[in-house]
Amino acid sequence: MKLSCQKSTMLSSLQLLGPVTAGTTTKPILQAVKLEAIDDKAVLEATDLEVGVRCLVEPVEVQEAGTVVLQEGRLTELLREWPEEKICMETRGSMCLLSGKGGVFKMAGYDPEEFPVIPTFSDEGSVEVSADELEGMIKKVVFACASERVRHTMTGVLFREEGGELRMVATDGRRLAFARGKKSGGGKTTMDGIVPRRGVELLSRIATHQEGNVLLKMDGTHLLAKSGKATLCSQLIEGQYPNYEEAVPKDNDKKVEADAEGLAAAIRRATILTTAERHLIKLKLQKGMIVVEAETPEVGEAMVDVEVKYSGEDLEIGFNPDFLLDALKAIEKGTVQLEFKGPATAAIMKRSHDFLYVVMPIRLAETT
Amino acid sequence: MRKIIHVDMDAFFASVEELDNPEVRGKAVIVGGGIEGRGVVSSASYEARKYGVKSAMPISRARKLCPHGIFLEVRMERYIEISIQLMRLLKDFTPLVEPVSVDEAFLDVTDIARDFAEAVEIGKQVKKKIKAETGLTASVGVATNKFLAKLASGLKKPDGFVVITDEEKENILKDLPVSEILGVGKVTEKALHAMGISTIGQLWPIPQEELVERFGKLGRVLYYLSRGIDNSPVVTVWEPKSVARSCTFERDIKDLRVIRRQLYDLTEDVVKQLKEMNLRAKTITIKVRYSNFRTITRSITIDTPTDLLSAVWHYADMLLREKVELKDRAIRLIGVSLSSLVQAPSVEQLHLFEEEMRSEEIATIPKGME
Repeated sequence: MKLSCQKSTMLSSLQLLGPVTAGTTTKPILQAVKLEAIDDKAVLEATDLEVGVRCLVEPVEVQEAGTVVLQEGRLTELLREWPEEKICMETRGSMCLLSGKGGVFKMAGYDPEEFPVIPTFSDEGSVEVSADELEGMIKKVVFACASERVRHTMTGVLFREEGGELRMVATDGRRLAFARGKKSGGGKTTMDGIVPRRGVELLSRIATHQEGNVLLKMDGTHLLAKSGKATLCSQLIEGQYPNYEEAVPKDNDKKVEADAEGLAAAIRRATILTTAERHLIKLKLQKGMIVVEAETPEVGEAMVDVEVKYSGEDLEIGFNPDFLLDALKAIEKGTVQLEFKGPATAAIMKRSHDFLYVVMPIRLAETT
Repeated sequence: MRKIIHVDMDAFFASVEELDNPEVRGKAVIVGGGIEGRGVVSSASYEARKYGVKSAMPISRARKLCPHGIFLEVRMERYIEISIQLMRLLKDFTPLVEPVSVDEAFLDVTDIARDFAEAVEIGKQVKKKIKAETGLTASVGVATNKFLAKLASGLKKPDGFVVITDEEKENILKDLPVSEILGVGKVTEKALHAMGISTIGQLWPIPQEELVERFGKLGRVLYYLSRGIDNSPVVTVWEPKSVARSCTFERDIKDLRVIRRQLYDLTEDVVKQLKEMNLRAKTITIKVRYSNFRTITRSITIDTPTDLLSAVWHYADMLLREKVELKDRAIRLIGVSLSSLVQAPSVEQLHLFEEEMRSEEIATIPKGME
């Protein structure tokens, strides 16, 4: 193999793959990337067996087709330090020669035969979603995944195509985020599976570096995604996802409209007077107002009035402030609709049609 | 010297009923379970007691003794509500309150009363405040330890106020029957009678070693309590040992559906009570009394304390169906109790899918029972 390209071209593709190898320690070859030069293009690959990414490197001049597998960490670091110039890469037996204005380096390579195969993507049976829409949806839900293995299926994001739209759901059992997005195109397909968090984050990364559309499909055991430049293949998590539709309360009668940024700012301020052990704020609903309160022994008390649209009964309800802020961050700007029922039942936060969030309160036992 | 106050509400359940229903005030009020059939008396007003009606007596017998009595069903929720109010007002005097049951508590006022006379004064205020805030009367005893304080509150019921000083204690104890000593039941009483001992004073000449030899640990208790010595502390963190409900059927029942239905209702009650007390249970026990009066209990202990109805019902029902011999046997009484209780966290993040996650392992509640 022999090729040459601009340093930045190679580096940007490498950085897209970085997160795949970052987490693996078990097998050295999983910390490596495969670079394959074919005809007039080059392709980089990385996989940790759960998630694999393939990324086009272009433009590139291929002098000789072939494959090399190199340790990702060192290669990326070297390219970062390389001057903004061309780099030439060439196989020499089991070694790879890297040369140009940055110097001459010979790096040990791995046997390309040992590199795991990443499934290829065929457009058939896929749906199209704009990269912006996809990135936006992921941002609205991914934070709500469970980090501990309370229940394995909750560590991923549910992707489901229903009623002609794409849905994503994530929950850690204490709150649940639900996003809806439009398809831009694509034929009939069944999409219903749980994608591991890492797969979802990589998908978001791919969408971020991309204009236009992303193609998505599921084959029963994998999610496959393809953008102009990159392909992603992620295993699906097996098992039954919790019945999220049941978790959305239907009879929350205390409805509030608030400015998302204003409410978030009030909660952030009140949260300063909480501790990690007592990470708790209270929302007091009154006519035309929500009072955000914090009361932490030996730290202090906070009380912030937020003007809202509300004409129902008074209610006092406790929450982990992070759970509220996560949702408000996903909503960003504009009006958030909040719906409550009682102090020990799920509350809803939503923005129009595209985002819905269910959050369980912290039960405050009466002090006796 | 310690200063202990014992508060004992007078005919608590019956008094609450009189409080809530002015038309039955002063009448022979009898509160019990299964009023129509074979339940027992839980509480009787002093008017009813004049006719010989006592707690734990079968309702049928109470009806014979007091045919004009007003028989009312137990309303445990209401009694607990007042009990909480009572305990709160006692805690206004001192945080050292040990609730013994819904209607009974010890207060340790050693540190807040300068001398014994002041402790007596506090005792009077406690009594007055209970009457003012709950509308109910309590009998109050003041003494230097728990045993004597409890004895004192029982001496002039109802509406009593009795003080036992260390100087008076021997005089008071001397002629009381031995059954007044905490821990002396029918068996011990009989054994003592056989020794020619019927009053507390008659215990005094007997050496401790002899009492221990005859009665084991209880012997030591007899030796000290008979002398009015009791060092047991007022324990403020009181955790109830169990929450239980049972029901005697009107007629002996063979039909499993009826039995399950009843067990479900009882389970619902105990779980509700558990939640109100902010507790969780690890042990679920069911009790079955056959028509021949043979009584069995079956229990199961789970790892995670629960207050979920679906979980408790699952185990109660499983015990009934798998651990109780029901074939062709009629049942007189069924009961369920929850024990190994722990405090629910005071501040607790609630969870989505909680019932769903449990129900994965737990059979659903039978149709038509919810």
